[in-house]
Amino acid sequence: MTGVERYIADLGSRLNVGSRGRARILTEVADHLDDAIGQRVQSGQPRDHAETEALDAFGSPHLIARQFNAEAGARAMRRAPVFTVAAGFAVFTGFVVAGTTQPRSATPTNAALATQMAFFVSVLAFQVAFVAGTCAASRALSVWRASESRGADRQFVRHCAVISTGALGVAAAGWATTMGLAVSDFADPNRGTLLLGGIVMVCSAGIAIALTLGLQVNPADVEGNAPDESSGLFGIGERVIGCVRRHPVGSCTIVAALSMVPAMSHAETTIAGALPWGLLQAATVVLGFIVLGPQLGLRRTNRA
Amino acid sequence: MSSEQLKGHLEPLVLAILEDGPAYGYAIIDSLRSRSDGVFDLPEGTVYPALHRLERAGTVTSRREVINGRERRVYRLSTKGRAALRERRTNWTQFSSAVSQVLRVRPA
Repeated sequence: MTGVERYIADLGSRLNVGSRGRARILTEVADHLDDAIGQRVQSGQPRDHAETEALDAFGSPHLIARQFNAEAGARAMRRAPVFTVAAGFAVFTGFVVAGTTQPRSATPTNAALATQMAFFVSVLAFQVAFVAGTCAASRALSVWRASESRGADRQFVRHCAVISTGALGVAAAGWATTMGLAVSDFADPNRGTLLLGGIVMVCSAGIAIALTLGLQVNPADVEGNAPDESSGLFGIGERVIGCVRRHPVGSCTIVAALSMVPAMSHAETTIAGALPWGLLQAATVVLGFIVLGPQLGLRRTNRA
Repeated sequence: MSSEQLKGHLEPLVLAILEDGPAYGYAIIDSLRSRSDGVFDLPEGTVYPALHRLERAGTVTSRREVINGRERRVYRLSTKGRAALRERRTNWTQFSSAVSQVLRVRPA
């Protein structure tokens, strides 16, 4: 094995860029080294010496691979929020399609406890998915146009996207269970639509989870990568989380109040019935993100 | 000059070299070195990630062509690349002129 072949093999083992990209890079590098050695041999250098000099001039496989990996990681990072938003939209659409066709009883009765629990967990999971997806999109958009991105940013976006699609999976499974429990009568004329909605939700969430887990964001930084703080409109998600972490009680109250609005819109729901629901929901969401925040690497704002 | 010092400037420099005509990787690096009188003597391999970034941004295009009997990937400046280069030139002129004014040695 020649020095060039060893170099190419070493570089290839360090690249984490997908098979087509890898083949193209390795071909280009081999072409380059071929030209560099050829020129040195033409100018009278012995081939061994020319090869060593050409390899030294090209740079270490570690350095070159890191630069390519960072670039591929940045592209993967940009795909992460696209997957989460698309999956969120598909799950929500599936829910609406299935939910709006369910027949409404003229005399409302309380659903079974299992149905209520499944629905409650789904709503919470969807809220977690929404916030984590917003954080992923917010950070990705803040560095979208930058030619280079920090490894920490790429890792953060992937973490948020994984949490978001995972939570979407829980929401989809919960809603599908709710529908399954609600449609005990197989003669229900809407069972086809319910089935379709459930399949859309579960499949889209499952595909999004698989795609997001497969994203290689290559978080190792290229040396000297300048920190690029999230700023402007696209950093708003992290500011909101920072605010929630600083003022958990106030945030909890606001979310509780907002949660009660849809609950109160149902004629059968009273304030007494809506209040515990709103408070529990708000407390769970706020607590979840206070706990998850540091795990996600959410940074406090300067005022924190 | 190290690749670290060239950070952020390598891409417009590559665009400027491609403005003279299509070129393949080795020739681009050769031009970069000769046009800077050897000052930009960075690791040659670091130009390829920059070329790939430029291609993804649509400022250059590439395809495999036969050069001197050997197949090589040849890069060309796109219309978008010409516009990007014009913009970078304007920004650089303003920036370098401002820096020069501030750094100018004042007579004692």
